Amino acid sequence: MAVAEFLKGLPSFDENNFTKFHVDANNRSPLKRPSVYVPTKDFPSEQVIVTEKTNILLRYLHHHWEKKKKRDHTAAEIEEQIQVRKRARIDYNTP
Amino acid sequence: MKAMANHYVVSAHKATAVNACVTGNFTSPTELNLIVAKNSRLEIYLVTPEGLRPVKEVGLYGKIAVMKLFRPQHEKKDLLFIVTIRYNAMILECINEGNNLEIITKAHGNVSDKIGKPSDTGILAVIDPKARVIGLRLYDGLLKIIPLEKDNYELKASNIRMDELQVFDVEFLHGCANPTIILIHQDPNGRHVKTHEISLREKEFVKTPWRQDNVETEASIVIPVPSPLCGAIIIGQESILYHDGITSVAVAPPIIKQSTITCFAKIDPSGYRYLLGDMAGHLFMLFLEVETNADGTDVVRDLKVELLGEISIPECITYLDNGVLFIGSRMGDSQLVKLNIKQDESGSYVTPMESFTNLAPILDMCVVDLERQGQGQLVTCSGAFKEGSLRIIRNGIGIQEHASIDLTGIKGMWALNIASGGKFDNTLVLSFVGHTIILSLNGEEVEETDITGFCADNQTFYCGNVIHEQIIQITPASVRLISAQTKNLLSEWQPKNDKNISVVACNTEQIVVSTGSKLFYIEIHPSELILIGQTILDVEVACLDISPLGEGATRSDLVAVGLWTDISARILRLPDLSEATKDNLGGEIIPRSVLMTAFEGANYLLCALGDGSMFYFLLNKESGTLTDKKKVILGTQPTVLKAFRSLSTTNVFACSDRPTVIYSSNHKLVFSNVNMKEVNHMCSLNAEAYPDSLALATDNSITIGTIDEIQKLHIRTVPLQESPRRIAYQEQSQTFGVLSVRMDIQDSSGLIPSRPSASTLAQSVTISSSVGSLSIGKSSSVSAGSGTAADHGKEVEVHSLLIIDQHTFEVLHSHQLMQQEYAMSLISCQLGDDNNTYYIVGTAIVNPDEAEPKQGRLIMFHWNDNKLTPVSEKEIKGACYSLAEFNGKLLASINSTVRLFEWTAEKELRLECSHFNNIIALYLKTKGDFILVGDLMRSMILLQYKTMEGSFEEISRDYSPNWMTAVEILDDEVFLGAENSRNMFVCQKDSAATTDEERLQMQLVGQIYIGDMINVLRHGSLVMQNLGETSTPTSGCVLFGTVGGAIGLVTQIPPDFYDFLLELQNKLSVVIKSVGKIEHSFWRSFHTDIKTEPCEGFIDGDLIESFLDLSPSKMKEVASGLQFVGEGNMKQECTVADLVKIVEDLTRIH
Repeated sequence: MAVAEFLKGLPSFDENNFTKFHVDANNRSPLKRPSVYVPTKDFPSEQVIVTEKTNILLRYLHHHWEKKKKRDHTAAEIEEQIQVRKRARIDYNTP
Repeated sequence: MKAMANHYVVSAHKATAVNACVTGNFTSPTELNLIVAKNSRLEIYLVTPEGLRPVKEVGLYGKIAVMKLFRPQHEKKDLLFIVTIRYNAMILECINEGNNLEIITKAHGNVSDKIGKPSDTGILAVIDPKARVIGLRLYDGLLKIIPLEKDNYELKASNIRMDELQVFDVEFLHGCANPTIILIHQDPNGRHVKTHEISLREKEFVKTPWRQDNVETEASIVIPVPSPLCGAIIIGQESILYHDGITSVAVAPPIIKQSTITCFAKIDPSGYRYLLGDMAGHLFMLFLEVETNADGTDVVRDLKVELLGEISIPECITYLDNGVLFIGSRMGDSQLVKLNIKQDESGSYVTPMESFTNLAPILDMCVVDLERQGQGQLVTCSGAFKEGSLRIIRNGIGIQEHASIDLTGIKGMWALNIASGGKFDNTLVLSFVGHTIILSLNGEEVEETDITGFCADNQTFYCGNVIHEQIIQITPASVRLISAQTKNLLSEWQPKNDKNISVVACNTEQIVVSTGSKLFYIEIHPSELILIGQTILDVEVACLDISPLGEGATRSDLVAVGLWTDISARILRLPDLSEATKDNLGGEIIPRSVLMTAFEGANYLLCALGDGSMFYFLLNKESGTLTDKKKVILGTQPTVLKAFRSLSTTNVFACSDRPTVIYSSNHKLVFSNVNMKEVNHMCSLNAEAYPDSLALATDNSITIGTIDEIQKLHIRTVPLQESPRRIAYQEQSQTFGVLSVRMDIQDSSGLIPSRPSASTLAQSVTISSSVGSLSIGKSSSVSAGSGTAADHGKEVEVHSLLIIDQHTFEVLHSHQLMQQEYAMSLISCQLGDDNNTYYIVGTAIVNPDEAEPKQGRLIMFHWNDNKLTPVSEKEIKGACYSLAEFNGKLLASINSTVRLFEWTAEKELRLECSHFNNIIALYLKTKGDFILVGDLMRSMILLQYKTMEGSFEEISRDYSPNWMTAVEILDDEVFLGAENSRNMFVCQKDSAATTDEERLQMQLVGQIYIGDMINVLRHGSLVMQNLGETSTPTSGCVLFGTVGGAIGLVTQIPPDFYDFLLELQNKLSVVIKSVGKIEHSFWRSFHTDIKTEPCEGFIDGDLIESFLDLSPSKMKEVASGLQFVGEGNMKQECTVADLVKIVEDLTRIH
């Protein structure tokens, strides 16, 4: 495909944009600088970005401890169940 | 006694290197904006049919590291997310109601961690396409996420541990149910691409949807592809890969191999087309070719890359609208370019539309007064590679050109208001030899016209509106009074003796006319010209003036006359033309223009001569006496003085080969250059289409323009197309020496320059013989001659000394150094009893196998008669980083040593003494017997040369571990240093200390964060030194140039003035709110990797000067309670007017 094909149909937000661009003979841009914004009104921030202070390792350990606790808990429960079942079995096997 | 250690630092020219650019709807949902980040400032533009229209410049208290626009879901316009290099993050919104634009900080906070290794690849920040979360890669092995929750006051940033330590780029993927990042990382096996899905609830990576190990070893950019295609493009050194987890397509187009792609821009919202820019300034288009699957979905089938053309070396690219792009550059001028479907003659699809001046990076600079005007100009080594250039920077007033008409041979020009019914001028009268042209101004239309009562077939000496709705035209033949209504001739006056009128002057009621030595005084009445007086002077009249003095005055009681033969200026009384005063100007140059004018209530007589110089006097209006005679040189050609009013103050325009505006500030005349090459005539013009304008005639055109309110710097560019590194000025030969580097490509036949540039295009070229006195490559296995086959295509640095004409800036000569020889330092100086002035180059032989250079040369050249003659060559044992002339001897810093060489009668450099206590002695500055050395990492050290012993003695040292980038001696006791964490500091030698130990230690007396790395410090000033005196008690001036292209200055101020400014600064830092809510004290605090300490000893001039931009009520708020030491050393309340005056004076030091 030719390059011309690539360049067809370039996106347009407003088709008038750049249509009246004046090309200076010297390609010199007029001295135009934006005025400086000097804010004097105070707008309170809606939100404040805060960095989580917890050390990443501590958070990791904490997280895993929680998980482990949960797992231990469930494991214990399962064990309990097993024990119960075992006991039941023992009971069952008990003459 | 303690030396003065209070300093004022201010930018004379703000940074121009572009760090980032983005396009989106920021100021309103319907407006398309370009936002450009330049160091610590944002420039907001509006895209319009006429091009880019500047909206606002927004300063931040931090250098911008990353800037992204994003649109939260259900929002109609974009928000701006910024992270500064000191880890301040902010989300900004623009509220634009009518003409009242406000930038609101919606969220802010510092996202730094106390521990963590800052990544070598810099700060990376990305935003999820659905705006659910921001990702930051600040430190190795950590990804910081900020979930964008709307309802919480606190936005909680948390770190996620990444297994990937060395990450080159990171992006969010599109079309994922949960936020998913994609990154390029490196491990010992190579570079790999990996994706991570983030759980915002658990703040963990939960899975890796896909990965691609062993992508190209130089892959460095990820481009996320939007829906529906999704996936990502990985850009490498030689290949481009598309991957979406299932399909992968890779191409290796040969055209991208030449350089490295560094930036991209998406063209279509759907993500089929991208622009890529590389380090050589090539612009490519990348196109994703798709095919439709059986199920109707599109998949990428192929990648096409095409070269579109050449642009400035880009740092960032953004697509604006209708095929127009903004190219942000750090190395050269930024650009607006247009993409065309058709190729131009050179095969390019890119047309430059506009370029934006950029001085960055400033590697070196010198301050010169080429015109001997008492005003310095800066010549900088700016830019790099193909964007390398010299920039000539001078202070002056700018004329903004609005229209221009091509016309040659204009002898005079006046604006008239002829029956317009309003206050606007509608006619321009142009005088030529033998005829006069009248132009009528109708809106922007200009056409030639006739006025019945006018004489058009003669030259016009004067023309203007006068009382009783009449017009005066004075030609060599007569004075004509014309009705402004009927345009008919009402009255005419001719000199009786048929002599031609030679010189005239006129105001709205009075005329003076001379024919040779005869002088006539005429008054203007309704339909009548009445001769009131006449006299004969002893010599011929050269120039006349009858300007009324004083506010609202329409008549004058005095006539000013400049005379031939006796070269005098005289004041005559009206109506009898009797002499009140005569001043013999002296010399042989005839006065060409006199003007009486009032500046700030004081009356002056200005008298310009035929050689461009001007006398000025205080004129007593009552007695007509002249006092306080002063002389100034404005240009080199006959000068014409014309008064005009601008912003309700009187100014005088001096038309000459160096046009100057004269105005008064604090009852001192200020002479400010105008950014035009020459102006022969000028007049004020207040036309409907051109209100408050000036019409300026040059040799071949008329320019209509408006005058800038303030002084600003004007920049001229001399392109070199290679990298300039060092510059030195040599007055004797009227040349500049420039060390410059170009890139050659190793070929089977040797080195081939990669493009024509200054060193290859010079009028003459010489080359250092590779044989020379040195055997290069002794310790290297690689032969320095023609490269081996493996080296083919390799880029090789070639260093040259360029000799450049100071007037034309033509490269007169280029001297190429040996292969592997790097030019490091350059000075121009005289040595010993030798009357010749030499260029001395310090070099290093760089061998890639050695940790530091072990060899180098000091080469002395003499530029004479358009020939460069090598005079002497001295082998040294290392790299010569810096050179200085020192009491007729040559001082050189060579690796870790400082060495002094004597220039013997046998024309040889002989080592006299050395100093060894440095890591690498990078910089040298001297004053008297003292030498200031800037070390690579051990701050500054002061040496003294002991003449008797012929040795160096260590006087004092700063023991802080500062990595220096520049040093300068402020005075005998005070030393200025700049270091590589963008800070500046001042150390003081403590001569009064009681113990030797204390004396040996420099005391830190000032420190400030500049926010930009300073490459060069030089004594000098950009403003007239002897003329525009101000009331501000500043002393000395050191200019600095930065990596970001900023020029600033540091000056010393007395303690009481410092205290006053500090109080003003503290008040301003409260009244002026910080965008992004970064504290001013945080911004200016001295900050390095190892410490952060409050700013001290420095006043932030940029903040002080922003006082002038405040509204009157806010000015009042700042002024209230401020006290300053006024007349009689009494403390007094500071009024707004006092404060404006003080701050305005401060702005005039740059």
